[in-house]
Amino acid sequence: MSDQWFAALALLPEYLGQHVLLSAAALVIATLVSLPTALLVASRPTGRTIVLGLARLVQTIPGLALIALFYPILLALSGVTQDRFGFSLPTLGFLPALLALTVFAILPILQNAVLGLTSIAPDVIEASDAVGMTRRQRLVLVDIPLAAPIAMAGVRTSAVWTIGAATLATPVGQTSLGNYIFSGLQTENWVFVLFGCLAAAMLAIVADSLLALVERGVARRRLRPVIAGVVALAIGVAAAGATSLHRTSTYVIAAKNFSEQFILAELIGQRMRAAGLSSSTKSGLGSAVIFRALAAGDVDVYVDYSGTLWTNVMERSDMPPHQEMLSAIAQWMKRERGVTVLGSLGFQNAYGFVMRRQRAQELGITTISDLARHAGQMSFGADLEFTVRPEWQSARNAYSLNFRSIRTFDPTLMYRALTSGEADVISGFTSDGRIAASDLIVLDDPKSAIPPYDALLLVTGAGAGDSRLLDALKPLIGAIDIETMRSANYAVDRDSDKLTPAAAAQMITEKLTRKDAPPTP
Amino acid sequence: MPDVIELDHVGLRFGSQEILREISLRVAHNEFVSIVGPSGSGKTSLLKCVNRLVEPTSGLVSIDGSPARDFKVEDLRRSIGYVFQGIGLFPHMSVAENVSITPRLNGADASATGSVVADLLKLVELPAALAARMPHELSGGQRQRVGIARALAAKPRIMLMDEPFGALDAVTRESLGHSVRRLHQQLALTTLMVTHDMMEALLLSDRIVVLVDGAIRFDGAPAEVLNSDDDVVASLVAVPRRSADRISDMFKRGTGAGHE
Repeated sequence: MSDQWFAALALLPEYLGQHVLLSAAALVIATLVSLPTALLVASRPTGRTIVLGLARLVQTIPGLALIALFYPILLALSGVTQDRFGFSLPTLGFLPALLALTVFAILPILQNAVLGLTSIAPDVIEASDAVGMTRRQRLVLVDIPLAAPIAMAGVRTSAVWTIGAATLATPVGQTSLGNYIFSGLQTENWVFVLFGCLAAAMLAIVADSLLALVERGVARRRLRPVIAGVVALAIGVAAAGATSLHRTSTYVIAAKNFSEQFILAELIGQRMRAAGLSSSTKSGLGSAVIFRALAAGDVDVYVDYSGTLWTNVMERSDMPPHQEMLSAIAQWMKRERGVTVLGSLGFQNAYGFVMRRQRAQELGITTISDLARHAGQMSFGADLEFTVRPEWQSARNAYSLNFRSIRTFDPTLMYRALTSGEADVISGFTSDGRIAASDLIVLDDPKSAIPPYDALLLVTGAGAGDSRLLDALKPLIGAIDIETMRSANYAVDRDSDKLTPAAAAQMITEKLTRKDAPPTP
Repeated sequence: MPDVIELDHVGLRFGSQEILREISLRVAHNEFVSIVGPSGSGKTSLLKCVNRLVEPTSGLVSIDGSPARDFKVEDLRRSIGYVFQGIGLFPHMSVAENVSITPRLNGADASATGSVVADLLKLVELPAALAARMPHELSGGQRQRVGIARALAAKPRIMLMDEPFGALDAVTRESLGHSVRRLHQQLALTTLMVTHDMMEALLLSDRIVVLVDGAIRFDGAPAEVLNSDDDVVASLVAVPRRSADRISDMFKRGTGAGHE
């Protein structure tokens, strides 16, 4: 237990630093946008309605979706800048997260600033005119000072929202306190989830208190609390900046959002460090995002699965023999996307229909064909993306699968749903340690509706030409068998005596060195 | 010498609504003129035409013989004191900052206004210690005195007052009324005051103008008001007359509550 807390604490400087930088940048930009906009529209009812309506509309988009939306937007924009001006925009990480959070942070500030400007008492306005103020003088001497405390309250609200929403930046590859939450959720590491929530809450409370100090100063027109609050905030942001300054890494390793990916990313990172190469990790990326990020050069190395690349990226539905498919993937990747397939790690993590062994035996089900006969009475639990993937279309068509109900789960919770009986069958992963541990079986696929999923090491850009990197990673090719991967996955996923992904990666490395000379690919 | 304030056939309309009709009015130097009338008769609009808080649709307003519209509007307003029922002290400014606002708008240094503020507070019979207070820390009467001090800060020759005692209790009204009249004499002001209270007008003014439906119905000295046979003017005078009669009866009989 305390090991997990220490592991979480060790990551805090990086996660917190990034979180603070991201939130502060979003808040500052949102304030710089909102205040002049409020001044511009406050006295124009139509403009006010339009602008506030737009800001409110943006608020209705769920935070995670908003952040996710900026990825394709930036991808499209990047295409335009590449064509027109010869440079591309980063589509992952800081930029999309910053833009989404900024847009998200605008409403409370804008709304309060407009409220402040429009709620000035008519008597005060009449007096301003009667003493002979020009429009400009009234703005500077009356409107702005009276609206400032209310606008400042908006900045406070916005700060708390932004710090909370910044945890959602993790899936687009921006490190934040959300890394604790997302990785903790995937590996059922509740210490991490709790730690992430607490850290974000503490940060929000501290920021809110400091901004409250500034707000009080503004309201009472006392300079000292304003300066104290602003200086304290500036020190916090500067400290956050300092933690990330010397963190310039050469290579970016990426991981999707499940345990195996976290472990493999750690394993790759450990090997690179051992070879003296610096790297940073973006974990928790979606399947579609991660490959685009690699092709766009935002990510240098990660592990993907042959079946995913074949059906989702290459959009193929035919099913050639295994080796033929692998070489076709390698050629296509090189030719179409400039991505080098370094080779297969030696195990497969296929999608499979997974049931409890006892229930499958009761019903006499060993294959998906058997399953299809019982599907009408069964509830199917899928992970978040399976039901929109071509593999599902293909399996459904090949076996005429027609379930009573289909529900989607987070991968971790999906296994829970199966063992608790909430789902009769799930879309499991064949390398998952929980399959053996929970006495589950993977149903056979006699019609080969689901392609093979060899774990392939993909490298792109400068990395593909860096012999030090290639030398560091090549020993992994063909070195990890399914048993090794399953036990590593289980070590992270099990309920008690959990390992962190880093520790599980260590476990694999120890196994590899015991085998001594790794086989050549 | 031209009259200080002169309205010549001033008209004002908002769309189809006629607020003021053909108003012609002259106010001489150091004259105290009250405008009385039922609500909605256009009193406030008439007052606001003088410092151009409202621009007349037709006719001409002149100040010291020059058309008001020829002045830069801010300069005109800074040279005319304006006190109104809402007072409109700036809630985020101290009493001293409120009082010195017009000199500061005219470019006076904030440090140079200290003695001016002290003099003005003295003039409106407020203790100097109030200078550092904020408006919400004052009583209603004190607030209106600050409002008057603010109006006097730029040494105006004209004072416009719109129901200046409207929101105050009877005792405060009375004492503030005295102060206003005293300041009018002491500073040789020309005062135009709007009120719905005929008694107030009778007690303070040199001249009373009765406005009905945006037109001048009557214009004369307080004594003439009391003797007017115009029915509107008579009805405006009726209430204070009855009150005065009853109170004088009570004084004669030496009793308190005069229920018969």
